[in-house]
Amino acid sequence: MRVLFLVSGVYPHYMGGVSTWADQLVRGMGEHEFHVVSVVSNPHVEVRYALPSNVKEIITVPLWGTEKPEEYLPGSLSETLRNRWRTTEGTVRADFVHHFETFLEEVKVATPAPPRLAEALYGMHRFLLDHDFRGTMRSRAVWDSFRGMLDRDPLLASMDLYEAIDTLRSLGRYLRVLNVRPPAADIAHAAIASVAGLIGIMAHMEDGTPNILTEHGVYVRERMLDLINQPISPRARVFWTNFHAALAALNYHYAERVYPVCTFNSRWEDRFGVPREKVHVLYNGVDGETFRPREIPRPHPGPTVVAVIRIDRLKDALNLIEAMGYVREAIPDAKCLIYGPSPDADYARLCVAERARRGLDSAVEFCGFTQEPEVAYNLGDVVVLSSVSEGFPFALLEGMASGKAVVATDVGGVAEALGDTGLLVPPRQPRRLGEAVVRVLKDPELRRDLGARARSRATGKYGLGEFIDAYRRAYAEVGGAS
Amino acid sequence: MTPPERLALEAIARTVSEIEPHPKDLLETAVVLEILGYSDSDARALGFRDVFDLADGVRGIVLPYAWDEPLREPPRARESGVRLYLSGLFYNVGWVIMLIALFLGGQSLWAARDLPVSVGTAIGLGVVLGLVSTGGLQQFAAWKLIYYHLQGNRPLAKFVMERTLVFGGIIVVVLSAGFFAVAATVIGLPLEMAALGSLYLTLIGFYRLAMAPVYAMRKFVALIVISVLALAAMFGIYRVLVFGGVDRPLAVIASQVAGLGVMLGTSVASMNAFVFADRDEPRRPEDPPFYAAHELPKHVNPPRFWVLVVEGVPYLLYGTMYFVFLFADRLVSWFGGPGPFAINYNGPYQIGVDLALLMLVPITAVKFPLLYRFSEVLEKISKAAPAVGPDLFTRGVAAFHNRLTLRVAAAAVSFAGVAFLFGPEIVGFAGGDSRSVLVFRIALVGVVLFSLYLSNAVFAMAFRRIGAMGMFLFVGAILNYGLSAFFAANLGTNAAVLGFLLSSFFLAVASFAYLLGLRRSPDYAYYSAF
Repeated sequence: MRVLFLVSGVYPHYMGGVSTWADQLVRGMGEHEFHVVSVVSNPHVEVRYALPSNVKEIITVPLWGTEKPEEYLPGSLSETLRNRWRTTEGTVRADFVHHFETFLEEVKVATPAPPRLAEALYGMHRFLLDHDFRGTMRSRAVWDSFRGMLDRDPLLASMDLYEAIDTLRSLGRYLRVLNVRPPAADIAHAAIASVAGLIGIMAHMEDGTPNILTEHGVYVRERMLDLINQPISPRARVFWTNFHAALAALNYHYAERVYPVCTFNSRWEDRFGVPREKVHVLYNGVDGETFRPREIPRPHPGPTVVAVIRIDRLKDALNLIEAMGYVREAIPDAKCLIYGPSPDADYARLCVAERARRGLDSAVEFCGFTQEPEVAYNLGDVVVLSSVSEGFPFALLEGMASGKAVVATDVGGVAEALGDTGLLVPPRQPRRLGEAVVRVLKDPELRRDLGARARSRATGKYGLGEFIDAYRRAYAEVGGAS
Repeated sequence: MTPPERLALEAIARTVSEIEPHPKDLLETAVVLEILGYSDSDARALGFRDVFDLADGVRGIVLPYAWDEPLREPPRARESGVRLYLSGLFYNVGWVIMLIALFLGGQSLWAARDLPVSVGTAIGLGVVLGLVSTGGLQQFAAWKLIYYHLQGNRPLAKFVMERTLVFGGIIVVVLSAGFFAVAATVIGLPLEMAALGSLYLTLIGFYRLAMAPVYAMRKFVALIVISVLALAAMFGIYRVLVFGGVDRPLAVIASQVAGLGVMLGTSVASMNAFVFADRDEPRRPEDPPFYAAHELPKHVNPPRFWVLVVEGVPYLLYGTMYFVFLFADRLVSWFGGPGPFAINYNGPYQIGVDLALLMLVPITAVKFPLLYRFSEVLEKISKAAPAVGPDLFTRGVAAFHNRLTLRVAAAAVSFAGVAFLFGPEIVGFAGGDSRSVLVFRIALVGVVLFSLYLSNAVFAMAFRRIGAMGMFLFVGAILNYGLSAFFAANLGTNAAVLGFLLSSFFLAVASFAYLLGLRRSPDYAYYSAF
């Protein structure tokens, strides 16, 4: 089976949880050919994974960092010149703008009519395949139609010119995916309900390719969070929130199955009106062979807490540092090893300063990025996850599979993953987190019991084989393969 | 809801407001609640069905959405006017060197005075071809370099510079060899003179290529250092050689070659420092070791070559045609002279036209501070103008263009007027005669018009309309050749300057006509600029 695999900002160009999932999936299904379309923020990326032989093609689609999408898409000089020659104000006005206007009408409201939106996008896609993208989007006809849309909308009409220009230019960036000619496939599998999924929908419009969707986080929820932190006006925020919601609605509509990685996510899909019969939770899988209990010489002989996290605000390392203050009050020789890099310099400095302010320099050690997380988990007695937001975290599954007692904050799919095999505490409550850690550290019997049951749960319910089999069945049901 | 539940809800609403004062709707409120750690079970404990229901409750308390809340923007640093004026002056460093060389040293890169006609011809042709062959590539490289430089993408900036050097180098070397062959056979220059012309072509060609990063990244200090060192080398060597009894022509050639060599060497050094040196961003001492700054891969993933070429055509056209236009009448003035070669360097004409063109230096400096802030002005007035009725923006752009035109016109007329009055003295100082004075005065009028075109061109380029400006130069160059040939044939060689005058008039009128169109809908021009 040929699989059109649609990802954004992850595999094979970036490391992380979703990339691990994608790598496991692609490797686990060696019988299928994968044609990967990777939507990235800029073209200056490297493939970070050793690709198995069933990955037949990687099409990289940078949204930013280029002046024209054609810079990084396949095509000949004659095609480039022909497309440019064909793109005139007249052709854009005659064959593109009516689709673009429908598209604008649909995305400016959060609840679009998916078939109408898809038809509009497909019309734009067909046009852009043999016309110059930049010439089209920079035409007067497109600008006029965008201004016309603003004019007709009581809220958006108050946008200032700068904001309107910025909005349309950014919209043009997102629409670059429409320049991609989807490779022929038996099934399109999107790993996010964003513009990446549009490529699968275009394939469906072209030749009926069936679509499925896996949601790790909830795309609209993540965009909302992102937009809250953006320095844009309320009206622009409304436009963008609605745009992303419309994209998600389109992805949900055309996906024959929607696979959230945990029930927590499915609540949001429910809110967005995805029919319940379409939604099937498919948990991430963990490799129980790599992540298993190991006897490893430990650098710190005393009670040790381990966290393998990216050190940023969502993982809330500050919460863990503060919690270690409470742990040290009860167990003076306890130590915490935090493995993982920080992409945020300010936050990294804040963590170091907070550690010093609380007199915890000897209690909390930042060990940096590790290539061997399976070793790191085994250097501690307890594995901690202190996040304020999660999907279905691999760090948790790996800690469980390593046979460690886990203490984690009750966010996202953590409670589902952990079940009764670990201790849950509310997020942002360091005292509660510290108390739970102390409880586990002081009770070897509890620790052993939790660790054993966690490993059993991780390798049983969330085993790699089960994960692969579930997707194999999904591909067979939707894509028609036996 | 009981009073305690109400109090709890208000406390939650206050916390939500700290993260987002005006949540857009229920879902946005729910997102904030989840980030704060509220789960369905917490919501149920407060008497709500789930987080979404709790979000609905919170929505009833937090402030309504503030549509017209102004955005807070951080203040920006403002460059001083004096610094910008000096920057503008040094942007014309080539002309500045000529100016200083002419008036202080009695020589110029053009070898305008007291040199055998074969030397003047060889040097003149070498310089013209050096500039024409690399003008477009320099524009092209500067465009891409600044694009990647602003993205902090050093590997790709390096890649662009490497390719520019390879392609430019091939062009310069092939042209240099071709020039040698043609000069020695068709033009009939002595072999050593043909070689001299080739040497000038090569030195100037590579110098221009190496200077692309300095111009693109606005490295003014480097620009000043390069100019000062080149001038010092040129004058120093010239004086030493003359003091040592070397003939003036040989001293001029040797000192100029040395000066050009220093310019090339220092520009290559600066190119290396700005583009090629492998500099990792220095870690701040306060950055913890586990902080992993985002790094671009060292491996370069270049854009498709042909897409880049097609995109770069307007830049290549403008950069090349700029010099083709500028030298058209001069080349015409070199044909048909009385000397022994098919092309004869016309010293009196050169002195007149070059001196007039030097007026561009102070004119450019006058407009530079205004144009430097144009992008800020555009941002400011576009933020003040509604998108659906951008009259304010249209008026603002028109007012800016009017102000720019008036400033350039006033500066050009003033400088040219003074130069016109003191024409004989200025020309005499530079070694010209009465023929040069006439050429100088006519060319001054052309320079006033050309400077208006240039200011329009830079204005248009702020809207990225470089292609149209390049096309005007292309037509202008053809007009300059045609008209100056016509006048030279009918009124004498030095009448070629009338071709420059009339083609400059065309450029000024055509660019104004074009900008009148742009000024009618500058909002669209602004949108489509990037």
